[in-house]
Amino acid sequence: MDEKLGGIDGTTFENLLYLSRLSPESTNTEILAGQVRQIVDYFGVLTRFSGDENPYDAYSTTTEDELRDGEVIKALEPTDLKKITPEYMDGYFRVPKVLGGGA
Amino acid sequence: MNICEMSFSGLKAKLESGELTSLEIVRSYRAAYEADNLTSKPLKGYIEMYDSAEEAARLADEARAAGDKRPLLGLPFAAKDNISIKGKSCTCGSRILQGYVAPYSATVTSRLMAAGAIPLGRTNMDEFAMGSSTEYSAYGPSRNPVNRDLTPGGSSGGSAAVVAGGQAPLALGTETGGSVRLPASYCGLYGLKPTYGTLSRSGVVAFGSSLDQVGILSRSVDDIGLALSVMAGKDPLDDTSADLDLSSLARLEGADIQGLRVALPEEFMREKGLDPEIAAIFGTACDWFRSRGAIVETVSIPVLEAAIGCYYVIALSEAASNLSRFDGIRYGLRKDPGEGYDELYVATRSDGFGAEVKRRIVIGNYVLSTHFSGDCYKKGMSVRARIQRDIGDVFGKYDILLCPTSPTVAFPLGSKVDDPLAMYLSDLYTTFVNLARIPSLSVPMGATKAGLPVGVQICGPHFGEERILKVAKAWEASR
Repeated sequence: MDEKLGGIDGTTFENLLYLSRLSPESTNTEILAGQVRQIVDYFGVLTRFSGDENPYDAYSTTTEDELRDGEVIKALEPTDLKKITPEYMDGYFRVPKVLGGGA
Repeated sequence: MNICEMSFSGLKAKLESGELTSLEIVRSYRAAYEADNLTSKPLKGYIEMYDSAEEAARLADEARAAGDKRPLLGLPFAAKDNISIKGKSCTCGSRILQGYVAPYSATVTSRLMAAGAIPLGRTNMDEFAMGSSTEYSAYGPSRNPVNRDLTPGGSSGGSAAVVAGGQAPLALGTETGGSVRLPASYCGLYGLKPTYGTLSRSGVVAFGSSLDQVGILSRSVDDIGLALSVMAGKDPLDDTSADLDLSSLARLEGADIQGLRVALPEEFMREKGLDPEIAAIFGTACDWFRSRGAIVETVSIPVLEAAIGCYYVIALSEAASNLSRFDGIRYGLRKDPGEGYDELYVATRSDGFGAEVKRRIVIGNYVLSTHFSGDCYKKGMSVRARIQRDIGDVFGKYDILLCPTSPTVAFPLGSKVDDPLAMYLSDLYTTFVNLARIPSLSVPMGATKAGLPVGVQICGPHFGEERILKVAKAWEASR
């Protein structure tokens, strides 16, 4: 892992910025890349302590964790849905702002 | 009687006895806030103090006169800027959420308000709770009431500043890796990070969803018990919330320390960065437990050495995913170059996020990409499992785990802001608690020769809030 972690080159960093939907022009990429490399290198400590155990074995399971039965249930009708939501106005559901519209 | 120096539970007693009105209390805090803003180094703990608080206080006083007996009636509280209150701005200390108004209240704030409490204002924070000093807030940093050239800690630094600075009797913060306990330690307050699941996360803006938990900052142990008694309990809006009844915490009695089994993690004690003055104060705290008959023993938990690395791998992966929703379409700021959606996303996020958030998103996306990082995330998860298992083993033999909250006291504003790794190491003693999902209370246990507060954290097993609060109550009563 260590060798891989140290290997953040310019192209990799550009790809990371793209994945993050961030513009290279919006930041000092040289400083940011250096800081990212330094922090990622710090993650090398994990190699000394990680094992093969399944992380999820650490959490106890309860009946609440079990999936619900595979029973098909009819969906609520829109009129019934409207009765149980307070976020309803002028015949429509209120939604977060989307492209300048909504409530 | 100085209202602004009183505790939340102390004010409750004065309201119930008729010695004070809610309006007097709210006006006192507003006067303190306004006077402080005129000083050369204001605390800047609040991003906004609500004008609506006085009217709510008037209504609370009328309700009390009419026989209303709700447990928190007329008591004000402050809430961090990432906890929703319906109709109020909620910006997470970020430009990208400017103008966003919460369409509903978080379960924690709605339960406080249902019990009669009054929101006083929203408090400053590191952007999206990413930081340990409030210096990464888009609104600028808050100051430490003990020494205004120092940070109050972060990310819930604004909440700590208003409570310690006499501008609120109690405040809500949030924790992902120490963001309540660290400011509590730096400002001389009590700060609780509850067990993951004790409090609902509904309406709290997500940072690292497997780690996030609402916390409480106060001047006394009773205040935390009181707030917790109202806020805890199953919430259908958060499947990770636990079905608990903590109403008994509204009245706390100190624990009997005789025979209490106390574990001290030796890895933290030999940490090179531990301030000798903090080590000495921690030693005094250990002596206090011994003098009352506790069995205090050192334990070795080697995996704690990897807690910070593990925390940042997991927290930043979850942050990169959670913050992908801030795209300029659904919330707050929008920068539209008119060239298509992708360009809109990039322009909005590049302009709206600050440097630290960008840094963490980039690292999170690195970790999440097996192409770039290999099995880094899987290793992080594996180490987390080991931390959870080893901490669980400790609580099989001991009642509480005791350690300093921070290796240092509050540091000067500006001293770490350009060194992210140094800033991350402020959380050296706190992140394992979030990774293991256990409760921990930072207790003010003393001060350095320079008068700077030092906190010691009392950690308990899952859902051991009552135990750690009662132990802290015994300590508090002995002071």
